[in-house]
Amino acid sequence: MLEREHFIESINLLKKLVPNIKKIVIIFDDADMWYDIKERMMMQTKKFNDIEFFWETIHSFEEYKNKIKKYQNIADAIGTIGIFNFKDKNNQNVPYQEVLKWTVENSKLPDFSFWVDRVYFGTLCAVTVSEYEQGLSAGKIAYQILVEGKRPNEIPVAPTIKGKPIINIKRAKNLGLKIDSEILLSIETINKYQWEQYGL
Amino acid sequence: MVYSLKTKFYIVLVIILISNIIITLFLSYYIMTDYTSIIKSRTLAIAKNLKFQLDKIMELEIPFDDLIGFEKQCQNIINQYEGTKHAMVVDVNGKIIFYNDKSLNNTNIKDDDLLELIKNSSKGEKFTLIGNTYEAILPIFDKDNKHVASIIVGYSKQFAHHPINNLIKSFLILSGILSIIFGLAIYIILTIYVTKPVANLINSINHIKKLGFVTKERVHTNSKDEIGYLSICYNQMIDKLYHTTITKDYLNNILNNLDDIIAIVDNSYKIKDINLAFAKIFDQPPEKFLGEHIKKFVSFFEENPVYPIKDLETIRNYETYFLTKDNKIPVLLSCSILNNNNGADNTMDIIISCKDVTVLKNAEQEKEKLIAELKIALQNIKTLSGLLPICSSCKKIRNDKGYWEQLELYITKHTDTLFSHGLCPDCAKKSREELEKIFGKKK
Repeated sequence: MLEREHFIESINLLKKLVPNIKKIVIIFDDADMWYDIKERMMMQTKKFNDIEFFWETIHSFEEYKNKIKKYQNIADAIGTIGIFNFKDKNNQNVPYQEVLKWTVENSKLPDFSFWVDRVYFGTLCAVTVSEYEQGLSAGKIAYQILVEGKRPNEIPVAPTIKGKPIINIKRAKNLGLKIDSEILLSIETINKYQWEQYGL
Repeated sequence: MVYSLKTKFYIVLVIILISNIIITLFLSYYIMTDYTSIIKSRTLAIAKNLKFQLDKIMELEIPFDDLIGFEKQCQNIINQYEGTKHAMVVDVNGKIIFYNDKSLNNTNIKDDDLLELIKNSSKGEKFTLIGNTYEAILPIFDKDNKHVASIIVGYSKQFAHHPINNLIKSFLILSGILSIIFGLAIYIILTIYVTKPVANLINSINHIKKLGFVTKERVHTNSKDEIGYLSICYNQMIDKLYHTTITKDYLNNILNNLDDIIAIVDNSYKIKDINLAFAKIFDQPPEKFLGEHIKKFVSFFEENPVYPIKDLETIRNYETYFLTKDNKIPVLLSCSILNNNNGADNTMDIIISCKDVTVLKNAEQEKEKLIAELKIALQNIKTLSGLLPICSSCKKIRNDKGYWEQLELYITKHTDTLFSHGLCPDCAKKSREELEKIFGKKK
């Protein structure tokens, strides 16, 4: 199965939590792996005419901290996509969990991502790739091959359509957001920060 | 008051109809009670559904005041469950926090009864009827188990009772229609098989009552049930009665044609009826004698005016006299008791029969006279047959005076016997031989 980020769904979820978002800064580190993702995301921004997107590539954790602090006054939300390659002052790689913890502790801007682990570490929301949908689609492909006798190369490689929305309630509380009851009842929620339970 | 069979049937029909209505209403009451219990369960279940959602949110440790948009869940409840009038979340003071109609958020509950229930709802779920709405009230507690709000779901009484009311209405109409149909069917069946044959029987009986057994009045029926059997028995009875029953006129004719004097008296010996033979003696119409005491006419009763009735049956051919103004007619008196078993009127009549024996008496007197004469004659024959001295040679008899008389003369004197003289064959033979001896034998 092809794993694809649910950009549009994630932005829509963010808009439900923070309806008046106008400017979103999307952050990537300098790893090459984000290139395709960024391209796809940029393609999909056309769906949001009322939102202005800013694309930032950040090289170090220090720069990240500075930029985040700067965005507090100019952006309405942050997309923390690429955060694996930040180096500290000692040129040591900063774990993304630490980056996220710092963000929680220092940013008052709602943020989003595409992966569930990010939400466990304090990102406000994400529409992640659904393991259930992935499994279901893989099962359907297996059925086509094993039962219907299709050749694997006849089956197109495609991502799953449905993602799994998830919210970190604790982060929402910290941000002073009031979440609509319908959202709270309809999507998966996390009410903690991972480091509180296991540490970093 | 006498009710006809049809009237009784109508009464039974009305009783059945009323019973149906009473049973229906009685059942309706129990159905309604059970149904109210179902409504209670349903309303509480709906309220629990809403409470479950609210509890789920509360588990996220979101402060109650930070909740937004829950009115949509309330509205979903309204949309999802037909008959639900309102769904809301109120705080402990009765302030509406979320109402299915968002415009009512932040207003206050005005109904005092409901307000009271909200304040007491921390003790557990409540269900009550307020106005036309069944209200289910469930408490909401925060993580510290503090009563912070209540869920209220209102279920329309009219909607809840509508199907039951329809059911009861339908049942009443159906039972009414069925009662009428069955009633009519029973009425027709009863008319054909019961009341009409019974009416025929009654008509026939009335006809006989009116005219007597002038004709053999028969009841025609094709029925083979008990009524049919009754008709057959009635017809057979009529046939037998026709042959065995006589009318009073017929009986009067018989009585009036009897030569014997007949009087029918009551138990105080007052004449109730007499026959013509009685009246003819006095040359008076029979009505003249009614109410008279029988002692005026029968010497036995003159002598025994209060003769015990129970002993009357023993009087059979008792010689007495029938008394007229100038005469006493010898009669043989016989009495018999006639019981009139007419229901409560258990009276008795006495039939007094006097057989005129004047002719017999005269004959008896004649007979006695003859017997007396014969007795005298017999006495005479006895004298003659006593010891008579007779001459052994000439056969003369010596009379009382001592003279010898010829036998024939003596018998002729003492009896009516006359003698004619002749010769018996032996004497004739003897005489002839003597004559021949004297005169010789003729050649």
